[in-house]
Formats: sequence, structure tokens, C-alpha cells
Amino acid sequence: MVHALHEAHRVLRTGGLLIDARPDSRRVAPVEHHERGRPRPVGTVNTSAESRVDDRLSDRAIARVKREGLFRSRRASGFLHRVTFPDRAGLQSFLDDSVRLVRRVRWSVDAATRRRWERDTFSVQRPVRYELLEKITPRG
Amino acid sequence: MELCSPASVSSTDKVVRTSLGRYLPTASAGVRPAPATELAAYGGARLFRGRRVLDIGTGDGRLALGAARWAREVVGLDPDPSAIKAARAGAKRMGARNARFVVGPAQELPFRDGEFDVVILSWTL
Repeated sequence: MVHALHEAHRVLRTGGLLIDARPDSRRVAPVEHHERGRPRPVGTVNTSAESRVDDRLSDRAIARVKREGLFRSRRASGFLHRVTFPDRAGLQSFLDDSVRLVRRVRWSVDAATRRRWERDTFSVQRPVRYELLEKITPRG
Repeated sequence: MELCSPASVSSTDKVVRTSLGRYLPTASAGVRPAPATELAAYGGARLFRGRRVLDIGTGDGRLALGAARWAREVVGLDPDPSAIKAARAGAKRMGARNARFVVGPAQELPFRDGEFDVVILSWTL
């Protein structure tokens, strides 16, 4: 990772910007049930342990190139990305296929309610984080 | 780090049923925000206009092609030749003459020092 960041640094002009964007595994993703077109939080889903480890390694790589004086942070922020499913089976199928998220939703509603909602629309709000890093020095 | 409210920047991607009866996002759009959403969050036209942009780990080029409408030149790089083939087809379809796509690893970029104004690492690190 650090090697790739060093290469990104090399091909950037001084003052140029590196954009690092990733799903934000530090935050849980809210699961929503849609009623009359309005989404309402009904649970959460976590990032898998493996992905959290990968993300921490990426964080360390970014921290290292900042420490090396190659980049400085210009702006860091995030946004939410809503993925919508036509029913609960669709949501579960998505989680089963996901390499980043765990398969089980932590529901805040009981099983009977969920069964009643079987054919309703659901969504996951995935947090996304990004940072704009400015190249400040040529690499010695 | 501050998270924007869903109302300010949020995208909703539809998920379609495949022939196997499973629900999958439409291309990569379902698991990734729409390019317009992502690029707008970073700075949109203000950030990319007239710039030379490198998208590392470009995949099918969705983000690179999104930036191509503002940038002077966009280069997408990915180690997967089939992804680059798809990106080139996308560029041709869109008529994006300022976009080119290259097969290669992020650890050994086939470009000169200081060649780019903006480098994108989106879902890549």
C-alpha cells in the first residue's frame, strides 16, 4: 500500500491532489425499511473483521506518507450511499454476496414484524469516507 | 471527520433480479455510489476542470469517465485486462476522446514524474 502511495506521489505534480475514498468501516451501516416511500432505520449491519483489518492497514499507510512529509490533508469528509432492495430476500442475498459486510443484520424490530415486512422495500446506508491529500514535497 | 447528512449527498441505486433469480446491483453501481455523487463530493467540476487526472484501480472506468467530461485528460489504470477492455468500450460509447485506459499495477506506474494534477484511489487502497 505504501509503495502504491509513493508511486501516486511520484506521478503527481507538487500541489497536486490525491483522493483516497473507501467505505467507512468505523461506522455501522443503518438498515432501513421503507414504508409509503419513507425509509426508517430498523437495524444495522457491521463490516466484516477481515475488511476492518484491511482498512486499518490502509489508514496506517496514509498516516505514514503524511508522517514522511509527502502529503498533507486538505479536506476529509464522507457521505452515505443508499443501496435499495425490492424485498428482504434481496437484502439478504446482497449481504450473502458481500465481501465487506457481515451476513447478519442486527435488527431493532422483532421477528414477527420482519416476517410481515418480507415483501417490503429495504435499504442499506453505507458510510463512505474520503480524504483529499495535497502533495507537498518531492520525495528525496 | 464529519459525515454529510443523507439528504445533502446520497445516491440510491436500484438492484435488479438476475436470470438466476438473485438480486444483484446493476453493474458496480449498487455497491459503489453513482460516479456523479462520488465526484461531486470530492469537488466536482471545480476540482477536475482542465486537470490531468489518473484513476488508479479504475475497474470498468466508471469514475474516470465521469471525470472526463471536465478534465483535460483522464487516464485509468487497472491490473485486470478485461476491466480495461470494458473501460475502453465505455469510453468509445461515450465518445470520451480525452480518456485512455492502461493495464498495469499501482505499485509501478508507467508514467513520468509530476505528470498528473489529481490522482484518484477510490475503493483501491
